[in-house]
Amino acid sequence: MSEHLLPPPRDQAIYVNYLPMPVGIHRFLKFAVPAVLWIMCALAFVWARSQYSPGNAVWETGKPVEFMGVLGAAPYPVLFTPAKDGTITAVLLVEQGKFGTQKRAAALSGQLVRVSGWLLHREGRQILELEPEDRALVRITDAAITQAPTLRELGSVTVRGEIVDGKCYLGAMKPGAGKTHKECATLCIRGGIPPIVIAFSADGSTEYLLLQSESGEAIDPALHHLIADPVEIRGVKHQWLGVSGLGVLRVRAADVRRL
Amino acid sequence: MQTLAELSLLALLAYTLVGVAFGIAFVLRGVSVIDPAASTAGLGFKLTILPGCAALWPLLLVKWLRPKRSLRAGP
Amino acid sequence: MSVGYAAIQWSKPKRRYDLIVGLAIIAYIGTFMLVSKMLWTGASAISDEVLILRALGSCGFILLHIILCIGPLARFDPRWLPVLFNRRHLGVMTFFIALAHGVIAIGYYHGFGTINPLVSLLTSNTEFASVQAFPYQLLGVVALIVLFLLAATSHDFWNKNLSAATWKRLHMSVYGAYVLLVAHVALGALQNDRGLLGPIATVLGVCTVGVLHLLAAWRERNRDLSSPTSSVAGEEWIDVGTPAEIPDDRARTVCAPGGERIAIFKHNGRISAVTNVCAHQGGPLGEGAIIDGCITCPWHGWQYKPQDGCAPPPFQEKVATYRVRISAGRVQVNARALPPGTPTDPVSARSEAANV
Repeated sequence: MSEHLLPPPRDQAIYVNYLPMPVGIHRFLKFAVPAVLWIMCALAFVWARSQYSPGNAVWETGKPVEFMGVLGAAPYPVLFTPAKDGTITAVLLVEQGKFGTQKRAAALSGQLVRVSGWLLHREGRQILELEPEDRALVRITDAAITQAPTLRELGSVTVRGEIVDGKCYLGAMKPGAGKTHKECATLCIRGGIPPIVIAFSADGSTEYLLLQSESGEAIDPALHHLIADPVEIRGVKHQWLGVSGLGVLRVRAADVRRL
Repeated sequence: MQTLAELSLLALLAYTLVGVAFGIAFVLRGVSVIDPAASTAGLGFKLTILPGCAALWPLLLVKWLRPKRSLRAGP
Repeated sequence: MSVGYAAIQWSKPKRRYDLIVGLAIIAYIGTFMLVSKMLWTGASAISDEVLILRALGSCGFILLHIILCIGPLARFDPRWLPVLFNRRHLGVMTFFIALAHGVIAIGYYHGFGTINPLVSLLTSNTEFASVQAFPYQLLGVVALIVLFLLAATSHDFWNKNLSAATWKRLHMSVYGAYVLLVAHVALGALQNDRGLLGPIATVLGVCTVGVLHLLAAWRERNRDLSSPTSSVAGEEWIDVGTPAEIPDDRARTVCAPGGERIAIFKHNGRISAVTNVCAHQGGPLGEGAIIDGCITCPWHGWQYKPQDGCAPPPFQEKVATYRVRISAGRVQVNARALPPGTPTDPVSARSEAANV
C-alpha cells in the first residue's frame, strides 16, 4: 500500500539559504561550480569554432580613396573607371548607412566625375561608400575614359543563388547574406543599395549580377520579399563591354521563385 | 502594412508613456495604499518595481482605486 | 518571507550565487569572442556586432535551458536546491542578456536605414506562410516581451500583490517564451548554419528540458493515482502509513482525491499536516524539513509552524492545515483542507502506536 505514496525525501539535509550549508551539498557545489564554469567555456569554444567563414570581404574604413571615370546614374549608380590592365572596372556607388546615392548621382549622369569615399571589396568586386560632403562627387573635364561602356544583351539565362544587397555583401557586414541578414538586406535594397544576385554555378564558381527590372529600372518592389532567400531567377543577362566581374541581369518579378 | 505598424508602435508608445507616468505616481503614493508593507521601503525598491508598474498599470490602477471604494462602503 | 521590502534582498548566499552566474556569463561570452577573433582574422573576419549577437543570443538560450531544468532536477536530487533558491536572479540576468541581444540586433539590422528601425522590424519581413523565409525576429521580440514581464514582476512585491496563483500562472509563461525562442533559433540562426552542431545542440537542449519535465510529471502522476482513502460518515480519510514510516522532522506527501497534495510531518513524535504548496511560490513543503520547530520550504526557506500553518512572527504568511488521526496503528489525514492558519492538534505518534 505504502509504495503508492511519495517516498520520504532522501535522507539528506535540505538547503536553506539563510542557514549554514549542509556538508553534502557543500561538497557537491565545490565540484559543480567549477564544472559549470568550465562547461560554459567549453560550449563557447565549440560554438565559436563551428562558425563558418563569412568570405573574404573588406571594408577599407581608413583614409578615403579617390576614383575618376564616367558615372552611370540609373537605376543604381556605378562609376566606370579604367583599371591598370586596360580593362574597365565598375565601382558601384552608395551613401553612408543603408542609402543609395541615386539623388546625388542623377545630376551628373553620363558625366566625367571624381568620387571619394571608403571602398568595400570582395573577390575583385568593388563598391564605394561616398563621403557625405559635396566634394565627394564632382564633375571633372578630363579622364582616361570619356564614355560609359555600352551594355550588350547576352540572352536569356536561368540562375540559382541569392539576392543580396551589394554594400553588406561586399564587406559592410560579415556575414552579409543568409537568413539572419534578410531583413537588413531588404532595408538596404529598399533604400537604394544595388541588389546583386550571387549566382552559384555547378562548378563551384560564383557570378555577380547586378539586378534590374525588365526595362532597366530599379527592381520591382514585388521582389523584395524574396531577398536573401535561395531563389531561381530567369532573366536576360547583359554585359558592359570591357567590364569584367560584374554583369547585369534584367528580370520580371514573376520570373523569380523561392527554392 | 507600414501604416499599421506605425499605428501599433504609436499605441505602444502611448501605453508606455502613460505607464511610466502612472508608475512614478504609483510608487510614490499608491503602492503603500495597496500594500502597507511597502510604505517603509526605500528608493531602490521603488525603482525595482517601477518597470513592472509601467507595464501593468491598468491592473494596478484598479487595485489602487478599489480599497478606497470598499472603505466608503464599509461600516 | 517579508515584513518590509528592499530593492533586492541581498544576502551572502545570493551575492555568491550572482557572482558565480556573472562569472559563468563572462567566461562564456569572453571565450566565444576570444576564440572567434583568433580564428577569423583579416579579410575573413566576422563582424564584431555579429559576434556579440551570437555570443549574447546563445548565452541567453543556454541560461534559459538551465532555468527550466533546475525545477525538475531539484525534485530528483535536493543537491540542486542551492541553484533553485535564487532562480529569479538567474531569470533577470537572462532577460538582460536577451535585451542586449535584441537591442543590438534591431540597431544593427534595422538601423541606419530609410525607415524607423522598429517599423522596419515589423514590416521588412512578412513571409509568415514560409518556413524558409519566416520572420523569425518577431518570435524573438515576443519572447523578449514575455521575459521582460517576468523579470519586471520577479520581486516578492508582485508575488504578494498579484496573488501567488496569478503570479505563478504569469511566470509559467516562461515555457511559452521558451517555445518561441526555440522557433526563433530554428528559423533564424540554424537556417544560416552549414554545420550540424547547431541543430544537434538545439535538439539536445529541447530534449533535455522535455524529458526532465516529463519524468518529473510522470513520477508525480504515478504517486497521485492511488492514495488509499476510506470514507467514514461522509468524511474522507487518506491513509499515510504507519507513524514510523514518517521520518523525524520530515514529511510524507499524499494526494487528496481532489488532486491537492498534503504534506504530513512528524516533529518531536507528533504528527501534523499542511498543504504541500508553499504560500510563497508554490514550493513543495513536503520535500522540506522541520528546522527550529518550523516546517521549512526547500525552495526559499519560508517557514510555517506545524500545528497551525502560520509563519513565525513577525511574518504573516499562512498555509492550509489538515486534521490528522491515528486509526488501527496507521496515520490518516482528512482530505478536506482547513482555512489557512487554522490550529490543529498534532497527534502523538508514540501513544497511539501503543494503542494498537
